[in-house]
Amino acid sequence: MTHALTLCRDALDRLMPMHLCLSDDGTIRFAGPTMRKLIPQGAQQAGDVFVGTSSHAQGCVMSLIRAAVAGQRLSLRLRHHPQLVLRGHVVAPGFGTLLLDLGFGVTLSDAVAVLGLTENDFAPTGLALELMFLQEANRAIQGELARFNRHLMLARQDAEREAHTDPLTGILNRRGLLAALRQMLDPRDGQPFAVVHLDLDNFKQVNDRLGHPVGDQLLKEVARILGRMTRSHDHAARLGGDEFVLVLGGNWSCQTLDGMGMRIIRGIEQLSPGDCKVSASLGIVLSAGYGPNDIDRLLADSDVALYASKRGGKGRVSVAPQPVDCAVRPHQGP
Amino acid sequence: MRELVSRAIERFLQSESSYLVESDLLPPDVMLRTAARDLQKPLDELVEDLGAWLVRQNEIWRLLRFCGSDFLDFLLRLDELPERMRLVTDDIAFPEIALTRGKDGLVWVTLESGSPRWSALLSGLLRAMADDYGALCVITRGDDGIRIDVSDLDFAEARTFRLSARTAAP
Repeated sequence: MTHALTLCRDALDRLMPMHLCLSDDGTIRFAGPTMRKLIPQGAQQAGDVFVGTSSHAQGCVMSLIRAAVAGQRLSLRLRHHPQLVLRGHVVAPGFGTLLLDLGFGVTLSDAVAVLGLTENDFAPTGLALELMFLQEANRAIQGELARFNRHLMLARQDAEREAHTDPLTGILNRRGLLAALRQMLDPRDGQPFAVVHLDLDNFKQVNDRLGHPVGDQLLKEVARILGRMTRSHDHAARLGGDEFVLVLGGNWSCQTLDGMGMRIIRGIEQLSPGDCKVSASLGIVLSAGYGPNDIDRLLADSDVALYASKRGGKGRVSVAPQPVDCAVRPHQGP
Repeated sequence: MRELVSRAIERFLQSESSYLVESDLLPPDVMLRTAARDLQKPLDELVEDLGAWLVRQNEIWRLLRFCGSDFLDFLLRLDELPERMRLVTDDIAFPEIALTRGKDGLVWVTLESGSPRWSALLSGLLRAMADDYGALCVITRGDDGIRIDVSDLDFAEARTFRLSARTAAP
């Protein structure tokens, strides 16, 4: 009983559409239907179709193929489509021939795109179609997830912005102010700043005599004035009622702060509706000497300075004394 | 994955009837039930429309066309579909599909769990795929499965499908 099997070329074509039969000297004898799509017109030799995959193996395609007869994996680059690397194996069935069977490996989807291959170009045993199916399914899901994540991120940003914003005036609320102060007191940030605590004088009269809509309008205009005072790294916040806070980055001197505070007060006085004589009292604290865990103390100290202004007759500015443990700094403008 | 299913259904409902959907990604059955009630449409009919709508989504259409070279091939390999879904995700409990082919050429598709919703979804999807492949057939959904009577596989020209998404469409 013999264990040899003779296959006609039709059977080879169906079983291995990417086979290639060479003579020992590298001359192409015949090829499977898919392999024929890879062989350029007029190609006679294996070297006309392939190059080695690494630079040192160039020019000796046949020695690579012969070496692989022993059982190693063969890897060949297409000469005319260098992005496509074929892998496969080779047997020597006798009669002075070498029989190669090759596949596209990881360059499959490139090969399908470049060569316009169809389902019929692959043997049903191969996983080419399943691989392409999976690749497309993965891409579709990834794209959809990316869109979904972006949607969630935008929604979160909106929610965060809303949670940090005072709905009446559009400037920060208390929560937003605390977040800003936490960031500015972070030692890695390290920039000095001033906290200006502001409370309107005689505001209650506006609400009582002219009604809440006029009071609300005034609060919005005060917020607009304070908003105009802030630069890109400064913050303006409304803590509720007629109480506002400005956080101004920079190394401020008492005189500069005093002058700026008075400008704010004059600006607010000009907004005063009717004869309500609305003005503002300011308490200012410099950030030197406060650490990241001292936000409450910082705001309490600015509140003390604010009440010093109130007690001193309203419509004025008080700057809190620097904490004793803080080195004396030269007073300079920002 | 569940969120993506909910989002797809949300988009389907929006496209179908400019129906206003709550965007908080409710579970699919809740969304569909509510929409069916509001649109005064039988639930199974709405789910069938969803099956047909899925086929019109380019990415899903391409994945489906990977599953068969013509409509009959697609139909007779329909039992691969749950396994293909599991290749992609473990997150969706897709029921097993059984096929029987009668001597008269009729194909019967039955779903393992007998879920009427999946059955409605699949029959909508099959109708749209038959159209896509240019096949003429009658698809009837009954209590015990879907009956498909293919009368002409080449009734119209199939929509062109190329294996590579990168090859430009004609």
